[in-house]
Amino acid sequence: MKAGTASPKVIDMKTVSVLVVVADEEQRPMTPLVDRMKTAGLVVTSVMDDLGIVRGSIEDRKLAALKAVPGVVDVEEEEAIKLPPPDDPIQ
Amino acid sequence: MQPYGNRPELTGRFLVTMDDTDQDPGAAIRALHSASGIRVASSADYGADVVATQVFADQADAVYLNDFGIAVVNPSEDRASSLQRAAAVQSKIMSIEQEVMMYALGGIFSEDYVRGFRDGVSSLAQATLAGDVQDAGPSWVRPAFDDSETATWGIQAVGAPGSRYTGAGIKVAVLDTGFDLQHPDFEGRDIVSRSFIAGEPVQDGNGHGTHCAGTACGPVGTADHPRYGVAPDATLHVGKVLSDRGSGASGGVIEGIGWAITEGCTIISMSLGSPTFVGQPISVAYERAAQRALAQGSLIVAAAGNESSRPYRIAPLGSPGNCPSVFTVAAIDQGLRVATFSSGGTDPNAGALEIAAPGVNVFSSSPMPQRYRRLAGTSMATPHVAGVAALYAESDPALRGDRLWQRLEQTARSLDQPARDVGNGLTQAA
Repeated sequence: MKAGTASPKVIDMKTVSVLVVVADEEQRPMTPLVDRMKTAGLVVTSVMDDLGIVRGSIEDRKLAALKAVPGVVDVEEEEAIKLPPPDDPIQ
Repeated sequence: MQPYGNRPELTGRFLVTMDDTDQDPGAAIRALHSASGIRVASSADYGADVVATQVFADQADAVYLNDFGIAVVNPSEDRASSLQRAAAVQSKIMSIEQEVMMYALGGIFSEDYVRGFRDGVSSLAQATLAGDVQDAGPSWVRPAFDDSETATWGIQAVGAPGSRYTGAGIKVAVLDTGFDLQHPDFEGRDIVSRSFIAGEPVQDGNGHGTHCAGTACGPVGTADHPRYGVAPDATLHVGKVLSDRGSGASGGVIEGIGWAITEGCTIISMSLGSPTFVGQPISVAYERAAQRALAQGSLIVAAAGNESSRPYRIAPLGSPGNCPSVFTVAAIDQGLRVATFSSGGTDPNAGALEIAAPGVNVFSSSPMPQRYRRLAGTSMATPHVAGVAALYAESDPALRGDRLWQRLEQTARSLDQPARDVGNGLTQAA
């Protein structure tokens, strides 16, 4: 790198799996709200109308926009679950 | 919380008291070795005088004092965890103690010391059997219950054999690694199943799900096996939300919850979770799912987690066990004491621990050809409660959701241990 030049800007396009919880009073089916989530950048995996939860993935730089969608009360990254190895006697 | 400075100084060695009622030191040594992998020498090899320095000059990991039925195990972190795991599955191991420095002056075991220790453990075991121990300290002593030819200790401890209910007409969902659909003990049973793991069928390639489902909904006893299922006539719903490698994500679990609610399952048993730290916010998504489940008459029963190393560390409840609307289960051993690994309700800002159930040395189904297996964990405690919940649900159609939750809490047997560790106590059948 030559002295005096700015270092190249690295754009981290990390995608995260998320669960989007919608307001309790939200109408079912949630189709109009889910459309607004898609516009904000959410790639929808499944829509659970009965639970008021949408599962999907999104670039992490768009998370703030998703959280700002009216009707969305919470966006959280999915938790990983890992059981002990099957030969471990404590499960 | 006890201040650190008040803790006794430990030598690092472990004293393992074996069941020696059969007066067979060789059998005790083999049992300890096969369960733990620890190399155990016999005190017979050292002559009449048992002096610790001889032991540690030698190559063995441990020496078994034939006259006393106690193995002295040299310090090692690996051996500590091996012992804990061995105790979970080997019923000849009566207790494991950390040796306290004050007893072993100069590192030499006097005969009086060893005899006194043995007597102490024996009287503690008898007192536990009599049910009059208030605080037995950190030792781990069996048994208040033991497996019989007709029922496992866990089935006995929850009172299932004396119940007139069997879970008939009640749908119980087990969200786990799937199930061995060809298991002979479930031949002829109606099993509803669905996989939420892409590319993997419901068939259990791990074993965890088959064991948990067996405890919740397995059969009554036959000539081949004791009763190990709490609700043998419940309709099992298998939701595969964890892969054959035992991994998954909260989103898949929540999809499984949605499916179980739609299927009309009254109980959703979840022997799964992720470790948490004190102060970690609860999952809003899990809590929402659990609230909606309760509102629709489905109770989510979940494992507390296995992150503790009692008595020195009590880990907080895992997620979703830490959600206020999830009914969370601790594991207890055959002495009805909280299991050393069982996580506790230590975070005042998270949901509480509700109840305790058998979670050590649990005999249940395993995928063929193994057929049966013994395991420990809050994963094994959870389906005991799911099965008990099915018995209550059968007893009264009004017992659903919150009302089923309250009934389970009200009927639990008090255990005289902190609610942080065992909630309302040992779950009891209708």
